[in-house]
Amino acid sequence: MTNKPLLVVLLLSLSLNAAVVAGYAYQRFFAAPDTRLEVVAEKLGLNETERAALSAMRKAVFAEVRKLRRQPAEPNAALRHLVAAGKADDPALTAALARIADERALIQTDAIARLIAFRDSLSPQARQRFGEAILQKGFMLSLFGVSSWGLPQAAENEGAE
Amino acid sequence: MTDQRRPTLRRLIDGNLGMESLGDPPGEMELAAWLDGRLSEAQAARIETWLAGDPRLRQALIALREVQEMPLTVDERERAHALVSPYTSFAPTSDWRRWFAWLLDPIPAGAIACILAAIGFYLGSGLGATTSQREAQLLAQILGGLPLL
Repeated sequence: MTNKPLLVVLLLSLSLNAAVVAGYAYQRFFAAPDTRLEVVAEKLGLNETERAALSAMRKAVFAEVRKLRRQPAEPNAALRHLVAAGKADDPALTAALARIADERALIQTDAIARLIAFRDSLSPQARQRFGEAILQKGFMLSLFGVSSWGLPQAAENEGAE
Repeated sequence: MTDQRRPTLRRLIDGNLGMESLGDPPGEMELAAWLDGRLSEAQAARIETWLAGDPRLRQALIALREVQEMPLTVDERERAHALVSPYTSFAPTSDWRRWFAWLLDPIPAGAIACILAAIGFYLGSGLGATTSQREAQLLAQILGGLPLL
């Protein structure tokens, strides 16, 4: 019995799986620059170094978010059980909510600290633009790449409102 | 020499004298079964007796040994199957082998591998984009809790 068919099937399977992993890795780590970053960079008049600093800040904040997502699922399951069958004044429910608030507060604090550090690294002109732009609603989220602020579609929506 | 003794003379010349009590000489299939160790002790003893006295059988044995480990092509398998069971078809394995035999050639297999790789890359890329989007949504939820946004 020849093993050639098995070898061919194995190679086809390997090529499919390797491509899935490569596609995932490309999208996660090597994808083209986010257009939102370009919009923000243009708004603030960032040079290449400052753009890299903005990108690094985003990556650092998202690394914290990834840590939060990778946490064990048990506490969240416990919270669901408490909501499903517990009482509002249950100390376990209060503790679970406090834990979630604390985790989120840590990320908020970290993100704001990184944003301030980024601001301080900017040139005086860019820092002045930053100070003006940050007062606009939604701009801070766009600095982290989670808002479509400044994009044509967003502008149309804002116009419609 | 009388005509009655001529068969004995023939057997002497052929080297098969005294082996008629063993019955017909073993065929290739029986020999192959003996090679595979699938014969009973008595059957194996009969083959070995024949082998001891028949150089042609020994030659056949050598030939069988040489081809024993060779992989068969689809065509050879079908012909071998038809030889041992002429009234049954080679299906179903033969059918799918025939239909998909072209897959074993390097060029079609490579083309399919490329297509699968493209599909896989597309799927993986979509999975990566979805994961990134979920992280962005989570960050938006977290930062959205800040009143200054």
